[in-house]
Amino acid sequence: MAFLSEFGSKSALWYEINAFLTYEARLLDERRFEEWLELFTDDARYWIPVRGSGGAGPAGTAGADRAKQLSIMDDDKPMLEKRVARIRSGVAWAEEPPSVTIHMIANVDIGKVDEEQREVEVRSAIFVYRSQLETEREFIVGRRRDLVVQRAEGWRIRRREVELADSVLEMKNLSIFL
Amino acid sequence: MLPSGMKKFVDTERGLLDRAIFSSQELYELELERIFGRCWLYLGHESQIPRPKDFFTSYMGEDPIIVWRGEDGTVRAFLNVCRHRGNLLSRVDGGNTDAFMCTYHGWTYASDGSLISVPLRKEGWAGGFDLADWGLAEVPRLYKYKGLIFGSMAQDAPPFLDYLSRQAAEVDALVDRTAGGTEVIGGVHKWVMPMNWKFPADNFGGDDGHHPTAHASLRKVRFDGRARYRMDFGPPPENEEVLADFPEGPIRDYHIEHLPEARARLGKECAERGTVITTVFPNFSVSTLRNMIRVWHPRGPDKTEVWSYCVVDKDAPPEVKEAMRLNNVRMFGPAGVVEQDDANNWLGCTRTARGWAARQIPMKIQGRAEAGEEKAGPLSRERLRVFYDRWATLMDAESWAGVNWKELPVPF
Repeated sequence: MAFLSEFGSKSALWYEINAFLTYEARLLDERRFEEWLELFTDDARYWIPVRGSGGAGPAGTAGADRAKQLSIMDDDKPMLEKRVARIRSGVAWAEEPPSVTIHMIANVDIGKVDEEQREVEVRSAIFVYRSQLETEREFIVGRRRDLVVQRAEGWRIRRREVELADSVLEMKNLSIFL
Repeated sequence: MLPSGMKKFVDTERGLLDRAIFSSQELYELELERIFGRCWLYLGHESQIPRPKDFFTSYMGEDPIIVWRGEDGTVRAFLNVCRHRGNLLSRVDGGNTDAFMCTYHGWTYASDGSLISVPLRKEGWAGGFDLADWGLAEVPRLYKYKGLIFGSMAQDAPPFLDYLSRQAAEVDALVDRTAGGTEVIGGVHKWVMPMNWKFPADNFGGDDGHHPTAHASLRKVRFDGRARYRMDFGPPPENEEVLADFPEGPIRDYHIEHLPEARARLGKECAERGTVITTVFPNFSVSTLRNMIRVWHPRGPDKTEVWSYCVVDKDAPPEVKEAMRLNNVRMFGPAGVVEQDDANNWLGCTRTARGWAARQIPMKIQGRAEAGEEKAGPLSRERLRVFYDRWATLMDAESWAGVNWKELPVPF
């Protein structure tokens, strides 16, 4: 049976993916990072580019070319796993005490569907509220472009890209996952 | 030899700092004049403006700056401030342009700074008004050091090479290893941290002792393979494998392959230094290990805007540059696994500098009297004392004329 037709309708596919992203957000907010990691394929890439404040930028500022972008985060799965291990070490001071996060996912929009690979391009908006210590708090807002794939065990993320709204980040660090 | 006024804030003999220097708005305003208005500050890298008419925007203290390569190839820096009513001329990071037009009244400037057009001049300006008098305010001193562009607002600042002094060796360890020179890749990390600029500046400038505690997580999880993971950044031990500090793989292999050239250019000791982390006073820091340079822009006594760059050898092969880029952004930057853990510490130190009671007791750094004749060891915080010695000297002087820069101690 063709992949898309398994869902019966596009809205059924949308619903499943929306539920998946909501579930992922809950794992992050509940700090169930090990389960969160399982949602990524082994060849997953996780990318948060730097955004300039407009204009062409000075030379040496590459926009969409990932290989030349400085990037805020540019991880493969092993790097994500090490980040989680670091947080669990108990001496990652950036997260001691831990941040409280609320990940809100909105504007979920299904793009291209690759029937053979069972992959779906998903666009969404992400709005994360993060609060830490007494008064360290910020909104982190951006647009996600994900490539999700349906496996026997469920949906998985092969590619995550978060384009932040801000050029100059108003935050002491980014010690959480988006 | 510390001047009188600032002695009450900085006691280098006993190694005591008054918390007011990290919280006082009044002292901060004075810093804008006497530190940032006077010292050599990093503006950007030549590789960011390779062609005529290329420009980028930057800051000197809180002053927005345009660095612009003219049609004749000359690099100049100006206040990013229209001479009319003071609007920001450029609102972007950079680009290429013949001229800047202010979006308020259309005043237009060429790359030599001259005011070339004032719309409605006849209708709007009675009497004599000579455009020649109202060109862009130019940064009076510029110096290009091996690709790094520095500027000073003080016409009488000491020559840059005198200012940099022996620290040149530390900066060269990053930017002068090969004949081809360096370039910035990928843009600039920019983020705002709620802390006084001096905490990160003095930390990068010689606080090796914080590594085992602040970055303890790096011993629990090994992010980069290194032959030896050391906590101090003095000269490496005699019998150690050369450049053992650098991550194994493309980065270390590249440095070892080019070591003969680096030795010829820098001398054996500098070329084999391995990790160098240093701050050129006041707020420009370098890390060879992470191919990183950065500026701590002051934004008030309790706020700092960090700009961080990745600097690599121009002629390095693509896979080496890629390894250096990933090393830089994964370890440092807003999400860097090393850098993340500094934030709460510096934030804490800044926060407690506000309270009245805390301000009655001093902060402690290594004092000159306690160190005595003993030569500073690799974990010495002597460099912090030198940092604050310079700070107090400059804060107390009416102008550069009152500062004997050559007599001040150098950080190493």
